[in-house]
Amino acid sequence: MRRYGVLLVALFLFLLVFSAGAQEVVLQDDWGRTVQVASPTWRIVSLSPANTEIVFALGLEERLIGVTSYCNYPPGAQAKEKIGSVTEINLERVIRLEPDVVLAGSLTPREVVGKLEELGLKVFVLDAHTIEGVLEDLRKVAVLAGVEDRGEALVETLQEKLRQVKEKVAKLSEEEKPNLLHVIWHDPIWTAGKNTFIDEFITLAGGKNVVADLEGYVTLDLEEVLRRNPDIITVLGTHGDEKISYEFLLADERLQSVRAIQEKKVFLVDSDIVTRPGPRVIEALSLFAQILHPEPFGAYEPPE
Amino acid sequence: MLLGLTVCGAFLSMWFATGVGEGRYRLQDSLSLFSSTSLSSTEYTILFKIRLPRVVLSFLVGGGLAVCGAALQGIFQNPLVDPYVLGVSSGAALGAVIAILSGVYLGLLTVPLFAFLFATLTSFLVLRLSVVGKKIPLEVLLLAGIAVGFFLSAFISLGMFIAGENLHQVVFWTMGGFWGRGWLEVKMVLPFLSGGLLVLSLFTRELNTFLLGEKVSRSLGVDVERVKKWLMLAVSLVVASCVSVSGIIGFVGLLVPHILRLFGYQDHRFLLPLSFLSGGVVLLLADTLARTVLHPVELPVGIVTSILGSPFFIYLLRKKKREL
Repeated sequence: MRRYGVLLVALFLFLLVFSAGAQEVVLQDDWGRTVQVASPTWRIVSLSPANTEIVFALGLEERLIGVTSYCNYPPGAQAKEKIGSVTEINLERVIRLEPDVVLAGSLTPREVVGKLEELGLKVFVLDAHTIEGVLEDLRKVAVLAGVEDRGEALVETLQEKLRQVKEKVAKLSEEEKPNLLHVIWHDPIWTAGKNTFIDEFITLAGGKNVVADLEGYVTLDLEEVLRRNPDIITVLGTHGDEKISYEFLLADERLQSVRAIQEKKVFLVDSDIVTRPGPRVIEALSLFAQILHPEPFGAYEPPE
Repeated sequence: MLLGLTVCGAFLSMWFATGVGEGRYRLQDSLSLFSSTSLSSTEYTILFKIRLPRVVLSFLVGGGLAVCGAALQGIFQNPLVDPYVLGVSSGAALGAVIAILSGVYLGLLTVPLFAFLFATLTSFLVLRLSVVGKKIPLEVLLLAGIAVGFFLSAFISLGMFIAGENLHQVVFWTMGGFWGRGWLEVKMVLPFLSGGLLVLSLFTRELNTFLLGEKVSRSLGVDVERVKKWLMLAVSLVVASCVSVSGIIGFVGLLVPHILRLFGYQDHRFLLPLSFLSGGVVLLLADTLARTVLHPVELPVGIVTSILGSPFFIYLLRKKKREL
């Protein structure tokens, strides 16, 4: 009888200790939603490539049980179970995985977020619009997962790299900052004005965005390109082999007089690095810095 | 007389539209068309290689769509017919989708070439499907066009579904527009447009007899089937070439001829050329508006034509319906 008693007490104490690790955490996500989650979150589903990168960067890959079909970085992400694309999400599969938290992204449709919540899941939306916002997201995910120290360390590393870039750029004069046009697509020309990541990259990397007077993502008249006459053009290359925009810019005879094209300063940039609000934002910043100022930052190597 | 006036109107609007840029009109720009030597190379490029060809192209496409709409309405005796009834628009869109998603690159005219190819193939398919004995009954043709159109639309939707990151490129193309269109596109459209217009002009009197119905027309000695074949061939090529360079633009092909009919121009000898000129001016002005209103952002042209044109048409309809 006594033996059973001891066993029961031991079991009780064991459960007590184990459950003491779990606490309720209340955080506000990037859509202003207040989310209460049991931390640490052991089972995480990511609904965007950026969020997948964040989870990996915090060393939490074992806890990642579901990713989108677009999550290709780091390579380990490709082996994870797929729950759909960024916009078409297989709700059934997500439910079956029984995640502690679902990390939604900026492109996740609101209905999906609502639906998942309705079905009893905890959804946390990461939708940063600035580098600072991304660092904040890193911290938040770290808190959710109960690895605050790792979060702080990662943020500190990234901030240090950011500081180094800012230092070198601070030494440049205004005249040394080239005018840059970032081309997302060519028909019509889509570019990024102020209050976008691209604008932040260009500005912090010591350049001037030729469309800094326009708000958000806009299309640009062909004649505007000629008038604004950028010194450098960056072109978004989607997955390497679709260089259509790049070819167009170099081939169209009307654009031949643009300075960037005459001096052959047209650079393809990897969209996986430059369009994801994740830990590689600093790498994206460095890419732009290399393109704008190869002197202090080193030569730029286009993707292939 | 009116024709002369309309021709003048056409040139005037083209001259005016070339002066519109940077979100506003500059008389100086219009005048600069004649004094090209005094321009800087940038201004020259802007005026002669960006604005002027775009103005000319939007006029040609608008005219092409309107005159084809008028011709088809005449052939079909059906006021609801627009130039896309032979499935041309779906064919062109599918060609564009394939070109965009496959990443094939054959030069700057890759997408228009694919669109044109698929558009003409589609209309020939529809025509072929509609042959009953030696005739092409109009009801069968309409239904075949609708059926093929639906079929292709399914593939277009599928394309959009798997497009992923390229979705906006596909959607943009289907919405229609003249961004970045230059002399290259004009050269692509011109041969088909002029050939088609020539053929259409040869059959204006036959089209007039169609107004009385096919039976009456036949009894007047018209070889109805032969005329239909030639006309639809011409229309297919013209519409295919227009849609391949500009995407799918609605309203112009359907309603411009009707507006002219409401003003009393039923005679195809006048209706066709007037449709061409009016359609051209309408689309030209719509495009000018589309690139000016939210400068430097552009609205898709189709939206402008529909928003402005449809209420106007409704107004006209209400005014004139008692006379109809």
